[in-house]
Amino acid sequence: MIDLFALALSLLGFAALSLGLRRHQHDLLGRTLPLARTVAARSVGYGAIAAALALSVAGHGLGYGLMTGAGLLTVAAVLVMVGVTVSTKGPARCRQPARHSAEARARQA
Amino acid sequence: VKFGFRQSMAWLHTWSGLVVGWVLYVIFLTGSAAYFQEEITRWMQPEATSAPSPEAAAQSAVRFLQKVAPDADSWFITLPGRRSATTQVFWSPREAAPPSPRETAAVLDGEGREITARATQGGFFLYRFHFDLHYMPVMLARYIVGASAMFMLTALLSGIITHRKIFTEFFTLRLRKGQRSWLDAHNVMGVLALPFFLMITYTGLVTLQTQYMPLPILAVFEKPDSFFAASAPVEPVERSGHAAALTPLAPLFAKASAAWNGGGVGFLSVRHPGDANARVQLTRSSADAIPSRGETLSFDMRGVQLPAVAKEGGAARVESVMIGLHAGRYAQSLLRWLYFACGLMGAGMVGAGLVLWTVKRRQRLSDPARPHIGFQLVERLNIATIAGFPVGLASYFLSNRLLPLQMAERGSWEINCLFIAWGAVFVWAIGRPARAAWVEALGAAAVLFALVPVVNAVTTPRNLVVSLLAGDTVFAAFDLAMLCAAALIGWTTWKVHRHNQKARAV
Repeated sequence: MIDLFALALSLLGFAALSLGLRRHQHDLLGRTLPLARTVAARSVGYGAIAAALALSVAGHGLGYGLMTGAGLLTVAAVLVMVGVTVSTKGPARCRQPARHSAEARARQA
Repeated sequence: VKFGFRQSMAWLHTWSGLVVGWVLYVIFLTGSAAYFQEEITRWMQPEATSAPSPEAAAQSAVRFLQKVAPDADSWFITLPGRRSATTQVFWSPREAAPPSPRETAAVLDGEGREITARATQGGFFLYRFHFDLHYMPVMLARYIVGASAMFMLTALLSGIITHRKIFTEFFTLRLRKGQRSWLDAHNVMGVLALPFFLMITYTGLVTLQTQYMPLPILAVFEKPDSFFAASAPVEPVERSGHAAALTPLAPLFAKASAAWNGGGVGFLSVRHPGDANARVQLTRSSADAIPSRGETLSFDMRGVQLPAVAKEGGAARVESVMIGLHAGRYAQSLLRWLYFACGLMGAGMVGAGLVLWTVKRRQRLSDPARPHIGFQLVERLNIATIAGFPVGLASYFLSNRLLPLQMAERGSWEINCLFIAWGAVFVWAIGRPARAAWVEALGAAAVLFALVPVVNAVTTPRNLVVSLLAGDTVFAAFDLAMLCAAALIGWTTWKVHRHNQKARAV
């Protein structure tokens, strides 16, 4: 149960951190957030990650908790990465169509 | 040409990674599997079903040893923990004893009967292969693995410096963009599991530090053996020559449990069994706490606890914790799966890096139809390793079910099957066009992994449905893991196939 909460907090943390990054604001929202919002997203992100680790440590003790917490953070980061990749809008994916087909041609030759 | 700092780090990263990439890929895969070595062994010994308490197992193991090796110098008993079903016993004969034709080791079930039905090295082989490789002297293998780990550490640190956008592209994976996608995949796996990679590589080097850095020991001790004798001293006690029955084990287990706050016994040894000067030593199970060297308690023949011969120093304690972190024996179910997943990400990161090397250089080839020998070598080794080793792994599991049960050297032949299948993919990768070889080798791996649960269902009564209904998590999880591997590799095969078709159509 503690692990589920820690995973949820880690997910929240990394999702917020991804919204605090200019590139992913473009990918996810199609626009850049104002500075205040970006700072807020990053603060929430770091805060949630710290809370997730603290929760794991509280539940499992220092050594075991840090190991479990770090593992859950990696899983959460991978899930957020997959989420960002899937929800990235089309144009960003093939921003350089010319170079892409040139590559394909080079490979085929 | 004068290189900047970052460029020289990029150069270092590329080449230190390439030189040992194939070894690292295999080390990561077998290491990940080794986190489940007990479970793999249970799957590979379907005849062993009981999971007795450590205490009952110890008592039946002692009965077995009293029958088989009553006048051995010492007995060593590895007890079943929460995850294994068998007891492993090993005994060292007395120096004066005439050489016996019998092996001095055995695997027992919960009732102390020797398991002889299906000789296999099980998950233990994958664990040993992780640092001892195979078909070569152990010491040589450990130098190869150690050098690879050192290169891995170099590649990690130079990779962090080379990766300019470590934060701005933290979650970035751009798909369908050729070289860019491979770089993103390599980066994203490397960054997201970076804490694990740094920990596992560094602690991995620590596990064999006395071999890799022998000079500090030799500066103080005459030879390495005297260091080991001094760091783990043994109470000097000789046989008295008077026979005596072994003290009952139950009170010793109770004392150990009380001393370790309910912790269990993982290992038991008896020196001078059958003699009045016998010594019984209990070692705490490594599943209990992070340090790899569990605490020990020694008892004499009357069950009286003896004072500890030596106290563990701070440095030894740090080493013990580091090795414990690496081996993960303390990890319970969830953390074990996290270790496993991070290990697979390591294999994925190394694999993507190896593919990236060829993708990046393919465009710069002067004649792509006839690449130079270095490029061809890397490309073929990539196919043979990235797709070939999984083929070997699936063949290892299949051979466990398909080889005749009474075959001589059966355990070794299972291992030979792994290398025969892997070698076959290597030959295939040399003989076929690279694109086709990728699809065929990956496809073969997917089919073989999918066959494992099928062959298991045909050759044993413990098929997936039975396991699921019986709540047999080890067998069910193993079969499901095989199907997941088949699905993942099958999906990759399909992607590569589609990519080849598109490349041909353009």
